[in-house]
Amino acid sequence: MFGYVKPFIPELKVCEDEIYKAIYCGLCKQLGRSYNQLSRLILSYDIVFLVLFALGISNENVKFQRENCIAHPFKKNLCLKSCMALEKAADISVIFSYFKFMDNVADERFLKKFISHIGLITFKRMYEKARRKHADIAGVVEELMDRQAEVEKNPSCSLDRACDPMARCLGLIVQTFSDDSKTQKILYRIGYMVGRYIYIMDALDDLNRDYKTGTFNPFLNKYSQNGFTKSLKIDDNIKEKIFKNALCALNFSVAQLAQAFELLEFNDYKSIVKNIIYLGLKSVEKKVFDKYSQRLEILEDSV
Amino acid sequence: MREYYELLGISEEATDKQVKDAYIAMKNKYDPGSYEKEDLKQHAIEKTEQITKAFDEIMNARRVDRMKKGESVKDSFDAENTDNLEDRVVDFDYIEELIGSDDLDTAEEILDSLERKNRLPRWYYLKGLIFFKKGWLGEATEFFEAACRMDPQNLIYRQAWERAMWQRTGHFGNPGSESPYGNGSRPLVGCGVCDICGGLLCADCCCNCLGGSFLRGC
Repeated sequence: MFGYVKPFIPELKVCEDEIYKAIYCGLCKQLGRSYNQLSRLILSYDIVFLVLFALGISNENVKFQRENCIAHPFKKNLCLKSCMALEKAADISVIFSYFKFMDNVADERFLKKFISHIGLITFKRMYEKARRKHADIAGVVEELMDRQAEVEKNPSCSLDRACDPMARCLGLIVQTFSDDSKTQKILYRIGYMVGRYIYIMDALDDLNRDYKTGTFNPFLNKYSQNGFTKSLKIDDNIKEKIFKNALCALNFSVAQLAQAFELLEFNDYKSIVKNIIYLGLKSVEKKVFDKYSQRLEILEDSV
Repeated sequence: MREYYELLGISEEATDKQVKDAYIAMKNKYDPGSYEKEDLKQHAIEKTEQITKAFDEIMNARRVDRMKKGESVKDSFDAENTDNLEDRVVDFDYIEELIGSDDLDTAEEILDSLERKNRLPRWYYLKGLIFFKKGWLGEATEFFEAACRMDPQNLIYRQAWERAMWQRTGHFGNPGSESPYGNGSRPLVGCGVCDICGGLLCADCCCNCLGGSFLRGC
């Protein structure tokens, strides 16, 4: 996926940091085991967050062990050994990446389109393997793509409506981590809010590109006529409005995510997840905003 | 829906009063108290439950229909008793109940079908509540705000809106509450001038500050 959901490392305890990295390593190796070495490239922080959740909710017994890795050939790092949560997360990664490639083939141009084409071909086999194991999740993501396309056709679509497909999709996926209907409800809310967060961040990150190419972006959409973003001029006023709007939406989503998370009975790794929710998401948010305030200035000069 | 009518032995065109009469007659007929034998009694209890469910379902469906048309939501046998046909208030309590039981689609359908004149502050609040439950936080805030503007005295609307505004500005939980994690950029425990003085006083009282007493007579 996109890599927006990660912890704020300076506030993690040393042991927590090590566990987080061990899960990251574990997922990478699991991808290699379940699929092939190439698939290890699609590793992302967002999926690590899902693993943390799956581990925290189930009482699965997991083992850590020191192992070597291609990225660190001379140092043995702690690594989570293969377990149910990792296997499922690896499958989810593959499903998401496959659809991401598909999306890129439709949206992007030139080199990126070419790369995505290759990705699509190489991942087709893996995707089919993952789909056989998790038909429900593949179905949910497929539905997401259809609904997203539907939503983006509407030129006057609100931010909430634009977020909904992605948010719903993650909600339904996170929901599958538990069998208890009460927990499922909380998990759905958590997944929904994470999805909302990711979608909004992604839209912000792509603002510049979408502005240039005239593709759909929920933030630009609001200020352009008839959905043609190309005719839009971003002045200070609109810039500020976009920022304010995005920041409020992100803050509210994170606060709701936190509220739902506090209701959950969570076993291990609670402190790491809390770090991600209360500090990590905000720090990533800040990074994107900082980057943006510079980028928009450049944009303005060129107009 | 048809099977409920069949269970009560009436047609779908029956008036509210006929439905109620049929229900009471059936209930009397299967009164579990009038059965001695245990297995028969069990059967009667089941039957009574089915009848009650059928009656509730029918009446609720009719209420929803009426609300959509903007008519009085009072059941007509109630209306006959009170003779108050002018009473055309929308049953917002019922809609709130629907929202509470997560039947958001029905609740939204009813709200959207209401005419403009029936859109009281409560309408905006409930609409916001539906959006909030769906996770459409932006629209929810707008509707809470509208409800608040129309009825500034109402505490519930105000609370919902203020909580939304609090969380939108980067806080967690209820207005005024601290983040459960503490603020990452600020140390959790402060050490100001007062803390230093307090600490020194304490040390002085306990052990004369390792011999360097600075409070005379202590």
